[in-house]
Amino acid sequence: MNPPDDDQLRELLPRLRRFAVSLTQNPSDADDLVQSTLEKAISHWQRRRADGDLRAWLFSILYRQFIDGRRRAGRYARLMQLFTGEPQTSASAEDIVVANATWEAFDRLPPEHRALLMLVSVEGLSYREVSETLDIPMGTVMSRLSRARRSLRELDEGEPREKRPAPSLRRLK
Amino acid sequence: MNPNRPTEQHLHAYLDDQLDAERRQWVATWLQANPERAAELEAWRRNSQHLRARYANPEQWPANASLDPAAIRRRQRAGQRRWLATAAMLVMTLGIGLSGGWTMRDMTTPASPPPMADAVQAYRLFTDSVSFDGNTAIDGNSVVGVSDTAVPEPGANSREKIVKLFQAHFSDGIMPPDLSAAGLEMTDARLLATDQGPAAMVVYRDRTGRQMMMYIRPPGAGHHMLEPGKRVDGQLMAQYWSKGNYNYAVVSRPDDPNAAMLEQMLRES
Repeated sequence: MNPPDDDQLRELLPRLRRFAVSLTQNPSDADDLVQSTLEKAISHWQRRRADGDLRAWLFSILYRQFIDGRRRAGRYARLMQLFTGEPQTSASAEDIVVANATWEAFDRLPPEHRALLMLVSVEGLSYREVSETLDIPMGTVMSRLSRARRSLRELDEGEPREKRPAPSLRRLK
Repeated sequence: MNPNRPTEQHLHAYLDDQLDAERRQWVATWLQANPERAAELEAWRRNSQHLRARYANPEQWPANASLDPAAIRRRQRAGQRRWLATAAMLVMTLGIGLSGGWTMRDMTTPASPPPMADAVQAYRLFTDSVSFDGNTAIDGNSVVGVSDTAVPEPGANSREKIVKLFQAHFSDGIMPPDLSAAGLEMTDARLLATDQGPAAMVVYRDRTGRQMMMYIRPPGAGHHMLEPGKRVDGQLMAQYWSKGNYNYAVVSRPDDPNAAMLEQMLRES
């Protein structure tokens, strides 16, 4: 297979950054994630299926990198907790996020649900492509999609506004 | 054939435009008759629209030059070069360290004595065929002492004393053979103290006065067993080997035919 065409990768860069931001919820971490994804994609180009969709393949690498990173961070946090006795919270988020009820609710979903909603609702991938990208069976895609949408709606509409921790403009860091 | 009512999966697929035309129409018709589910679907649709609005136009986000594929490729190549340079440096350092260390070892370690040098020294000390002339000093520190008590006098009962000596100190070793039928008499036997442990030497003399010696001792702390071999040391020849728990040597003049016979008998015992 020919080496990756830089123009093809450049064209997909904005979508990769968008998917990464939705997962990491932090532009700086998101760009780090995109960078490691591209590094892996370039060095593992030979393993890519010739007939596979490049976008779905890159999304799957990015998601795997994100999940692996979270596991490492979790192990590190547990280790730190052993030494300090205090749970470590990861530094988070955008400088200023103009909040919208749905956006706030989305940010509170688990990352697995965020990834699914991004790929289906924002990227417009087919359920089959989502199944391959996230490496989960079709049945799980459907049941997770159902749970994700119900959770998003409950968080968006079900909770009284005054109980929400953040005002409509919030500084996360 | 469609079921009576759409499943949850049908509703999501309808929302995500992943149904064929026929099913799409069927779900749309069903939703018209079920306004509660239609409202729920509408809420999901609104949520999706909000998400799309939030993440719209990522191509207009501030550019990050470090994410450009060409830049990443350059960094990867530079990283590989750095890695190779580091690996080469490590290999070179290791090579210098190893060769330097080996040279230092050769320079600082005294030359190890040849195998069974103590046997040859014992022969020189205690047989009268090669006189101790003051020049053949004990330089290997191998023979460090001699027993005064276990020196059997040559004679009729010397064989018995030698057997007792061997049974006491080398019970699982090979006994010195009786070679009187070949005209060889045991003329001396001594127990020696060496760095490797107690050793014993037995001297045979033939009718012409030629002497040869059998020597036995443990291999020492390192349990260093010998490859069978022979070497000429001055006017003497030593044949040596290991068997069981002991090292053996036969020391004689190089031209003494009896030595080969003794060596063969001992090795086949």
